[in-house]
Amino acid sequence: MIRRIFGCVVLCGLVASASLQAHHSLAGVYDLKKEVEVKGTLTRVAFTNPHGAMHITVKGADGTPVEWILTTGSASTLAGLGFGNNGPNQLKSGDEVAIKIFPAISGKPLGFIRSIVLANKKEVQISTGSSRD
Amino acid sequence: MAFRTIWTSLALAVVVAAGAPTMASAQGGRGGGPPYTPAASAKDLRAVLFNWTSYMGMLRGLDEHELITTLEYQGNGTMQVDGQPCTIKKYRVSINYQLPGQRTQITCARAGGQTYTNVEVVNGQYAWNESVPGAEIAGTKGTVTPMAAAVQERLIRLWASPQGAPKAALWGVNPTIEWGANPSVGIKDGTTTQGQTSLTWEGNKPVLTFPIPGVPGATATATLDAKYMAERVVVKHAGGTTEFAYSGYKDWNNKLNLIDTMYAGKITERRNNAAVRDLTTVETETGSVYVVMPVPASVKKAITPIVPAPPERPMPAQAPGPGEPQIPAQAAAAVTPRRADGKPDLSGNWISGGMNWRYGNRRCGPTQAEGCTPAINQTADFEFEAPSRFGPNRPLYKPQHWDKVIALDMWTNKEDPVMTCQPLGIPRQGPPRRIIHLDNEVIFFYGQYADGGGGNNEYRDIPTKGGKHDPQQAVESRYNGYTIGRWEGDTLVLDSISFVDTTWLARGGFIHSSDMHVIEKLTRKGNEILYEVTVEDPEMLVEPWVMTPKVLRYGGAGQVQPERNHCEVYELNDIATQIRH
Repeated sequence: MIRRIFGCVVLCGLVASASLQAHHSLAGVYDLKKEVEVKGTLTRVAFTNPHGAMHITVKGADGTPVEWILTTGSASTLAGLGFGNNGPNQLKSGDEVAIKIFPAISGKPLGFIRSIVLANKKEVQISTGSSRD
Repeated sequence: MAFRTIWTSLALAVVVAAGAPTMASAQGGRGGGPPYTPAASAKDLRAVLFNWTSYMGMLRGLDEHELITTLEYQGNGTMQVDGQPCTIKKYRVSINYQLPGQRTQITCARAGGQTYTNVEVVNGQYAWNESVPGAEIAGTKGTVTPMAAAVQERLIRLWASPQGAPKAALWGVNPTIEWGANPSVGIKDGTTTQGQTSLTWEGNKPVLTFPIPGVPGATATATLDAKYMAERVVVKHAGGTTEFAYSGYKDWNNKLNLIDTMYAGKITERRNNAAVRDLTTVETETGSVYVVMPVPASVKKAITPIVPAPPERPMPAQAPGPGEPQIPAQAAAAVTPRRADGKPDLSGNWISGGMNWRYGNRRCGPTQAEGCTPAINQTADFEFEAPSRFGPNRPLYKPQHWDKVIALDMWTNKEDPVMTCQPLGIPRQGPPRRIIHLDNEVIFFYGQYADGGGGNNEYRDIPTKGGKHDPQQAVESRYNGYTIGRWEGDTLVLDSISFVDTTWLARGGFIHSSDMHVIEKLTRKGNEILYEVTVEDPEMLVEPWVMTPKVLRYGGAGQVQPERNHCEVYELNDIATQIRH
């Protein structure tokens, strides 16, 4: 199921399917009351279980690159959303993307993905806030 | 455990499970709204009991099941010992509402400076004092003193407590309702009395009257405040009156695990107008940690229960957990297919229920902290929803492991082997999802998301010719053990030894030793397999853990199973809170 939702991030709460949530409690790592957007270049896309991940290099204010590790749904969940090495929402290293995330409580460059604006400007909601997705 | 080997009740449970969507809709609807919302002006018993548990933060998951099962409490203050005040240095209460049982570890300083220590325990109709927690259990050193005369006093303290009183009031309505039922279920709208629980109003304050479970003739009267929390519970019993006063309600959990379960900050207990205990809360842990209190043999011998054990309360029907397949709605009446050797043919896909509750974005309760969202509730509710945490069937660890199990569970996001992508192992992996039955072996395939999340696609290839374990093969440890199968009539018995000691039996910090011995039994009848597991681990457990059996339903001929996925965990070093999966 592909969701193309523009600008609904505030209303849309958390997170893809229940299956990924079952793995560990997101509230144990991420601040679910905050939202941060990071923009940069994808350096690695891992379609893994229990959580997929994207590494994104973001240039800091002084130009220093910082690598963020952003986790998301499982490979299966992402495939259901059309994300994969193929598929309608193909992601690959080198893509310029903007990603809205729940940042890690620890303050490290780590987050849980809410939505992604792909290189082709399409925004894809990953966390829709409904457990029935 | 009563339904350990009873086919009929299990079959019934599955029939009920098949109707789970209907049941859920009776509570508000699968895919529908919340199960029950009292009208703002409602003054009936149903509304008050719902509000009491809702305001106390006891309702969890999309169907708002009442899932507070155990509780740890620490306080300080003053208590009376031998009629004299004693200044508390340690006051730790561990409660298991399902037993029901309560252990209170006390250290206090008397007026003369001497230290008084005691461990007060009650479990059902047995009460005793311990010199150390778990004394006399599995060879634990220390002494035990039976306290027959204290049973009723301790049960009253348990059931009149801030979280115990609403449970007792619900028990008064229906003592045999299934565990975890939403408090609105089965209560008629518009009434003020149902069963043995009744409601009156004193001005704007609801006043509920209900019996104390297990104490004949004891009646509690609870006066709730404007936020539906008990400010006073008065228990009359045997000509005496015990009055509990509560105030300062909030989430007293450790700040690493704030989950909006309320508890009183000030607790006073007076008997016949004389002070008994005066407590100030320091901290609670409400997230279903491991609390047990096995009755020592010497206590069982010394005390004759005056009240028979209460009737067993049923578990909710099994339902698929997150990511788990739906359970086929079919009867077990089909003829059992058999192989040429006459044994039941186990081949096929097999589907079983896992989690009992329905996950989802639960609405925010009336007393939840600012910033609450349904999405945050979904993640905070996990710690209540694992069936292994909820019980009531838990492995019984030796006393020296009790606090370790609690600590592992509190840091489960770090400690759970799932977090390092390890296989769940047997028995946590649950039953197989596909079986290929060959002449002298069975091949089991397992799927992802066993135990309510986690786990990978795994397989086992098990010989079924019987015989003994080969000592040389037994040297090496495995996740699923070294298994030999044999047939006992129509039952395939799998006998496994040589386990790694890094896997868990289930969520909840349930560790085991490498000497664990697991017996699985698979009995096919029609289109169902009864899957029973017993875990023996004398190094860790007081007694074998007979797990609650599962019924697997035939899901068609063998379906090709995916391979194990790549697994990688990124957040392990960034677990910052104890809000757990």
